[in-house]
Amino acid sequence: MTPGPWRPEKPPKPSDVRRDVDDELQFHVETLAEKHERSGIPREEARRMAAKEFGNRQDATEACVDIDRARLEQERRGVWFEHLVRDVTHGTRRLRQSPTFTLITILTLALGIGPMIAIFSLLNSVLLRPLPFPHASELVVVRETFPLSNGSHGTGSVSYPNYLDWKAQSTTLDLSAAGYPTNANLQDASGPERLAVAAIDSSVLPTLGIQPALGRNFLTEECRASGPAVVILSDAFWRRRFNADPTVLSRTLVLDDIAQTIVGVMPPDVTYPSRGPAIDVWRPLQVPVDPSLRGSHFLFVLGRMKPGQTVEHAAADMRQIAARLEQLYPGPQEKRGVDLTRYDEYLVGRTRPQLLVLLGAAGFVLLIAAANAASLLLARAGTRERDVAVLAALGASRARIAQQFLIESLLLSAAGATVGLVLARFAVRGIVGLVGGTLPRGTIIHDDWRVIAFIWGTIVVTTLLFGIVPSLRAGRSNAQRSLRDGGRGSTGGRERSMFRNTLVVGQFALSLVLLAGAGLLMRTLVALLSTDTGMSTAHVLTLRLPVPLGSPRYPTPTDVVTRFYGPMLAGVRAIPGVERAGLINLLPLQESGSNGNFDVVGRTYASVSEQPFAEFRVVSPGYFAALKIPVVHGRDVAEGDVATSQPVVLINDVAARQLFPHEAAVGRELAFGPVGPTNPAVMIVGVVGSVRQARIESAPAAELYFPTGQAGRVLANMSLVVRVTGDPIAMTRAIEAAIRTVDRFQPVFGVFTMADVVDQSIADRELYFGLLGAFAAIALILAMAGIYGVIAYSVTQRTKEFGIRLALGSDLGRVQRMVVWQGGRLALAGLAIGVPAAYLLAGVLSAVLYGVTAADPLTFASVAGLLAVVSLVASYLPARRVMRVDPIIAMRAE
Amino acid sequence: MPPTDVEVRQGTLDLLVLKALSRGSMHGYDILEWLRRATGDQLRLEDAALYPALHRMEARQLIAAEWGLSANNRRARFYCLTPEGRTALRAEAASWRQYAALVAKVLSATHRS
Repeated sequence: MTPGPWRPEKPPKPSDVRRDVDDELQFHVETLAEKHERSGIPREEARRMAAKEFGNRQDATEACVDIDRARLEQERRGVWFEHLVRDVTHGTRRLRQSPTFTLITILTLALGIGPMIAIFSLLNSVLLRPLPFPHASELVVVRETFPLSNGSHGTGSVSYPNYLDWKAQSTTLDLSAAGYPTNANLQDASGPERLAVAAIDSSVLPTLGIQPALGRNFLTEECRASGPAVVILSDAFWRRRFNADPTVLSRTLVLDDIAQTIVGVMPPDVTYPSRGPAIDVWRPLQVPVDPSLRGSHFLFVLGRMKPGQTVEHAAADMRQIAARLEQLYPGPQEKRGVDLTRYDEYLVGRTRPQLLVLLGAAGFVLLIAAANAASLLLARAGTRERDVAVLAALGASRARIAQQFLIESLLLSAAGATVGLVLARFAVRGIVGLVGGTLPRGTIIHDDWRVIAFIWGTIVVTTLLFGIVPSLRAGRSNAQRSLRDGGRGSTGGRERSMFRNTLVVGQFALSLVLLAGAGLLMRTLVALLSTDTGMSTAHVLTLRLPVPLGSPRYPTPTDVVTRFYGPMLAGVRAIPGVERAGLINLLPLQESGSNGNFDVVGRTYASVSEQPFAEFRVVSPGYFAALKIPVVHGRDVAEGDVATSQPVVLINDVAARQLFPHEAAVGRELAFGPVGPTNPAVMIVGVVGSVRQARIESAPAAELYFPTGQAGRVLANMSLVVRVTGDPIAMTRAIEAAIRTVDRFQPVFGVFTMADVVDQSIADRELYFGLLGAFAAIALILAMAGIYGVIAYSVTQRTKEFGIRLALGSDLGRVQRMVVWQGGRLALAGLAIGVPAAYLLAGVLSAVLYGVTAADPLTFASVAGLLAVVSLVASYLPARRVMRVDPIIAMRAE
Repeated sequence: MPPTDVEVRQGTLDLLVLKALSRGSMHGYDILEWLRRATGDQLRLEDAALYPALHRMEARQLIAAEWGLSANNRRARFYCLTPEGRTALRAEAASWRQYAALVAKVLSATHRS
């Protein structure tokens, strides 16, 4: 590797190689010929002899040329690499020599790159990471559609008889059915635990294209009513509870008091049919084949398209089947159709636009950060012009100089990305910890090669964004002039400040867009939080009490009410500090509803679609009082409303207005199906205030409330609602103790204050606002730093000019105002571009806004005002320095 | 009667060239002349075959080359040993001597039954 004294200064060009070899051999031949001539042989003869004696000149030439070319190629590569190594080491040294510049630039870039990495990491896990099923693009979700009162269609779950008919008749799809995830109580030596359970048909695993990692799938004969109690464990649950013991098969698990035989363990990462949260245990789907279940919709149906099928074909096929079923079963199937959605689309379709918007916002932050970094580099380039001139004078080419600067930029962005990666790690962990469950597939974040590739891509793009212009400028600078000017390229300076001014304008425009987005989301959250939900959520604790209804402990609904709920409520109400306590099956704002059609006795309806439709809830006495929901007419549900007494119902005032606009509701009767001895009419005994049941932003719908004493299976999954005088969470222990006094095996889970429940219902918007708000804040800080840097630099550059102005009698205030105006002008230009841009881009948020429009003038005016103030403050700080200018010293400065 | 010419054995040309250049820088013609003189003109080697060997050794950085003026005032390519070449010469020469001695020993061994 040592160059040595013999190493040629410059390696020959590839085109010279053949000529050199030829010359070398020619010398040999001629020397031979001369030797012969000296011994008296005639010239011509001597030459012929020499050529003959030399041997195969042709072959030797070719061999030498080949060897030399290969060697030159290798040397060229070596030289390039040597330059690279030298640039990297020199670059590192130069950056270490100006630690303030280096630190600020790295931090700026970290703030720009960090959000990008964080959002991409989320986006990768949620959108890009393939589903853990082979050929997942063939999977489609099949749902039933039903007519809505406004003429459109809703989509919902599938009934068991419909599923069986679809499965038998479809020529395009292999279908499978699963029950929506529920919960079960696990009892074993380590205490009660609440498990997430899903019931699946034996065809689910073949449809998904997977097999249990251990053991076997459910058998067809296990998937029928009163089939055997068998379970498949999730990989995570198997590791957590059984330490990944491979001998777990055929051992038992006591769920809801019933021993279940373990037959298999799922592969990791499978959460089907849950969208995000993990499933602990799968059970076989065991539903009776009963024609009356055709109107009972509770299944999640997934299909795999047969080879060569398209979604369109499959949808047409399924629509035909649905039309046949409507003809065969005009009652339950009236106007019910079918909807096909790709499974991946079903999982993440709603999340995709939000994540893409966030990635775009992170991209804006990166642009703003890159603008600051470019500005910093340019300001530094001014002080380095002399270095560059020396390099150029020593014969370094423009490309080499530009490469040196670009390598420095690359080092800076790699360091920035490293710091940004650390920031992103913390951010992602925090986000997943806080709201992982609200993102589909969001509970498992894997960083894979896509994230690594993205980080490298970001580093390269960032380097080009902020480094390319300063590098090219450095390569172009005029060596002679710079040396002569003593390093102050004055004309170059003007061009440079033009460029930096443009960057500031762009930064303000981008910041305005981000701030406007964050502002709109903030107003949405304020609107959501100030909406009257119809209930009082302060001082209320809620928890879920899943009861093993149907197990030996509680064989019938009446047993649950008399032996558990009754004494338990009495015990809870007796705790000092508890004001009210009651039960409801579906907490407001937490769970999707159960609902259906019914008749008002005494009225006739032409068809099912003309029947009234309402949400159904089951409540115990004390529930309305606990949430301060007023009973406006009639009475509350009472302890006396039991299975043997007159069936009663309460309706909310929305239902009262819809059903009985001009008459009293109390005393009227409702019917659910044909009235008879086993299905008596139900009397309305009261009207209660309406609450926002499904979502805060949806106006209350008609609702019916049935008393617990007259309810059925839903009693297995009730939530307890307790109003207390003090801090609700502080009461948890006493309430749990009161519950365990009645049933010591009863697990309690989902303990939240009602205020938490409200918060969770808007968690997606809070996440969105939180991230966009954070990005906007970073953007604001960076924009402020950017304009400060530009103005401060320009004040330094114009010291002499200010000195002259002050000496000529210009007053200080005037000069300062001039400087502040210089910054203000740039900010205004940025705002002038930013406002229309934000106006155009805010449309992407309109789907998540509530109580504010995407073109809200107040938001736009506020953020523009905020940015204007920020720009004036950031410009005023350097302007104060003008005060310290002494005209005499300033004028002598050069 | 002059002894028969000896053909250069495979792999030994490099060693001979290194030895030649250990005396100082030379061009190809001089290297051959020196080798012929050193062997009493018994070495049989085609002149042309020397050059690919020289260029290969240059690529392996055992020798380095430079253009210069020859004794007859012509432009000629001069070769010299690099430090790596010098090391290689020592190692190769030692190993060659050892091998030659070994071969000689075997050939001079007498058969005993």
